[in-house]
Amino acid sequence: MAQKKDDTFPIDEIREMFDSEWVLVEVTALRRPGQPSRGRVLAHHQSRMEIARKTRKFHDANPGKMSYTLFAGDAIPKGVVVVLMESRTTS
Amino acid sequence: MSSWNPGRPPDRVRGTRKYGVLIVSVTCPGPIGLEFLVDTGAAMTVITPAVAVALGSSVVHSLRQERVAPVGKTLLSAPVVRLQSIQVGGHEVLDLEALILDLPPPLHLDGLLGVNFLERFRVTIEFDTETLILRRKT
Repeated sequence: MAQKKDDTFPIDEIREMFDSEWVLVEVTALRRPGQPSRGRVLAHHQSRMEIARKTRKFHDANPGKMSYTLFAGDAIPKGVVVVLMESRTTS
Repeated sequence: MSSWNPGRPPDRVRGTRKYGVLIVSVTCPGPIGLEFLVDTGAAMTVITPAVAVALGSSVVHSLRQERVAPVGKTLLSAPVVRLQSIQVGGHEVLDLEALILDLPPPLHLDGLLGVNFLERFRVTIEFDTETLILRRKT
């Protein structure tokens, strides 16, 4: 009988598989609570919104399963200094 | 008055440090894992419009509009939603308000973990070990 191929990979390896794309992963193992260590690639795309729609579809079809979305590439481009915002409350 | 509870070990959340800032994994209802930048300069937690789409019905209803003061820009208005929960490491915060806001295009991030989350804990950021440490208040 043919053995089922393991199509799961460490998250760090998945990060290296793609170049400047968002990747949707089904999480199969956690290192610690809330910290995925291994998973199965479900989709990859340059558009974050496309991955968001696939995430919604995945969860609608697979309640209870965990997904993880990561950006394979530089989340912050080299040479960019991040100075972000604060919010002001209206009252 | 709240105080640090030495009886409970702190939760060490390993992240990644990119050009000076710390990025950690967070989990929203689904469960949906995402990567947020830890931002002690953001008064509120931020999710991007794409994350709002991924989260679906749990965030479709906007609570109100909030005025936002981005660095170097004029005031803008953004919708506020209530996240059913957000988990970082072993710690979960329920009913957290978050702004839906686009982050600058060169950044490939899903959100900012802001002060309205961080203030629930005694927080230490270890930049050298790329770790966010959350201690539950008593």
